[in-house]
Amino acid sequence: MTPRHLHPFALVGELFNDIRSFFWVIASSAVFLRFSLWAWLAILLAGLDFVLLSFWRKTYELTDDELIFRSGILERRVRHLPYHKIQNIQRNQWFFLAPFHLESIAVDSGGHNDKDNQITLSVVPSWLAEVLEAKRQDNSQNLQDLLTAAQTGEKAPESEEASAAATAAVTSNHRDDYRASVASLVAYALTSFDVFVQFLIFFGAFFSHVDMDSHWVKALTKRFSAQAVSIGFFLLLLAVLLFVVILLVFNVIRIIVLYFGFSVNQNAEHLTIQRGLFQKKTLHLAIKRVQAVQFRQNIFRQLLGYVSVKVRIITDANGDDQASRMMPTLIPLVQTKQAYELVSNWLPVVPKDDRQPLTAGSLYQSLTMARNGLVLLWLYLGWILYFVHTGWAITVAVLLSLLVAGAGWHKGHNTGVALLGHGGLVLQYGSMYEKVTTFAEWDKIQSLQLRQSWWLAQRNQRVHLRAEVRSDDSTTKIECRYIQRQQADEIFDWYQQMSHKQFRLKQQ
Amino acid sequence: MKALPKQVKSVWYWSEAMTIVIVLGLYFVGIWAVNQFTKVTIPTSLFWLILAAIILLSLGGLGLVHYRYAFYHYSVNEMDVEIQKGFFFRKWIAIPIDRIQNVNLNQGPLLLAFKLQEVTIVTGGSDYSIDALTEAEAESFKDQVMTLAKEARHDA
Repeated sequence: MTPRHLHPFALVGELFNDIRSFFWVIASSAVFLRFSLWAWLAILLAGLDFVLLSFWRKTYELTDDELIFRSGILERRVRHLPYHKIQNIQRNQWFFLAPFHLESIAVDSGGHNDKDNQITLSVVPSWLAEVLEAKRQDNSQNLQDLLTAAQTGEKAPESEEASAAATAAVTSNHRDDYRASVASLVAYALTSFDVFVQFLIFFGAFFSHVDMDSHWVKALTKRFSAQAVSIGFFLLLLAVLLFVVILLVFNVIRIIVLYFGFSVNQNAEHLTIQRGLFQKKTLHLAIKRVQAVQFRQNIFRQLLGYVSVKVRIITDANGDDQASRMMPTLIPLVQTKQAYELVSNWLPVVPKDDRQPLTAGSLYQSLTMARNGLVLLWLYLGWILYFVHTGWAITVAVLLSLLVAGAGWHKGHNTGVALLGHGGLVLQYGSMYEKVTTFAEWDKIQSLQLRQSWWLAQRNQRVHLRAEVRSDDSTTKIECRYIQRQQADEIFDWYQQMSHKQFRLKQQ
Repeated sequence: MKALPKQVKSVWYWSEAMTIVIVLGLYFVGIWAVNQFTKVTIPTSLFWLILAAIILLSLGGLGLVHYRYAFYHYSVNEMDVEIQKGFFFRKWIAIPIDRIQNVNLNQGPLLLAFKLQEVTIVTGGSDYSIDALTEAEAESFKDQVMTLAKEARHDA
């Protein structure tokens, strides 16, 4: 295959992005610096040239063994990416590109901490992603066949493995393995904490700008003190409720736009996750490369018996900051029991049922974490009360204390760790009223650490256990605190013995 | 499990001493600056209190060097690297050999003076370091770990 350029639509996309990034610079210079028309034209031409050059310099090429991506104007970069090193393929398709069968493809290789390491092909034909995925799954497939087939829209002559998998897929149920219903998406939106946060932010912003002397505030307070106190109060309550409803509706719409048509499919050793209304996102991942699975429940979801499932995968740094990409959602919201059934089929590290080998957090842990939270809160903010004595401040202090103590209690109550039968570890902790259960295979845990302060050693033999797992372009430290020393030692020994077993297996 | 070379105690004493000098220096300069440039007067009791705290912590730090040394151990075998360190805040770390991607050796001026090297183990996750080994030990540690790691990965 000869090196190809991106589709010309990429020019439009890049121009749009550049304008968006430089918008404030352009706007402020238009206002403050009086450039003549000719100067503006010159600047515009320079910008266009840059965009054109940058577009011209970007080429991609598929060989039998690797993807080659060339870019850069002043500093020319050539990236070679062998197919077997591809971690995941992320695809993005805006609805206006769908009729042209074009999309944006980002390929992760899990390289080390290089800024902008990710190969992103911003506007390319969709068949390219299919070919890349086919080559990634089975490198022996002939590239030329795949290309001609993809471009003409027929199926390529497959290797034996691939055709066996295809017939298996045909004979089994060929509906999506999992498809999120709109109801579950709505529930997902309604039970998330986002509404609270947005409400608090708006509340804070609103009240900090309310002028206590303004006319309508006086009118409102007059209403309060008048006979119609209850009516005034109800009006206020109604306004607040209306606002909350608006926020909820906004969040529901946002989630539906982002997660519309959410589906998960398994194909041999790979998972394909698809979602999105205006922008269809597809993620192809290799099951073996999933680093950890996390079941997340905030207290609303815990009460209702629902759970949200996310996976930790390795992605490359790309200068973008999309949270959803860094911890992809596997299932937005589903009943806990069903979650275990579904996920254990795709990712064997998760057990088949929810009978946890975990012991729930003990009273000691709950009390200690609540105490820790309170100590930190008062240490950081207690001195403010020294200067501000108003009733408001004291109320806020009490409320915050309750909140923090409750969060600490919840954290302690949900802390636990246990070994899973087949070489996996399950770690559970709480964080800001969200319970997170992490399942990780032994060989995905990069290191294990036990930490204990001197006084914990003397008094009650509790340690903190910390496992490190790779996630997006760095790592995440999963920590379970105040675990009993004996249990932690068992897990530490198990971890070392697994290395031992691995070594012995290789010797044979 | 192996202990660190004895010279590391001297390194720790020196670095504690330097920290004490710097902290005291900053403290006195700070007090002088506050007296000179602002109208705030620091009560003598507070001045002595903070000074006493600094001296106490310094003595504590110096005294702890012995215990830190006693607690610091490491071991390398074909399966993992194990590090045990810290006296007040203790850590036990296990790193499987095939997770190790690289071993870096560093020498600041203090370590250079004592002919020691700091060994940093780079994994797919974060990095872990052994404070100081003799130059010969550090080289052999690096060679041993890199060979074992390469073997472990090639067989995978």
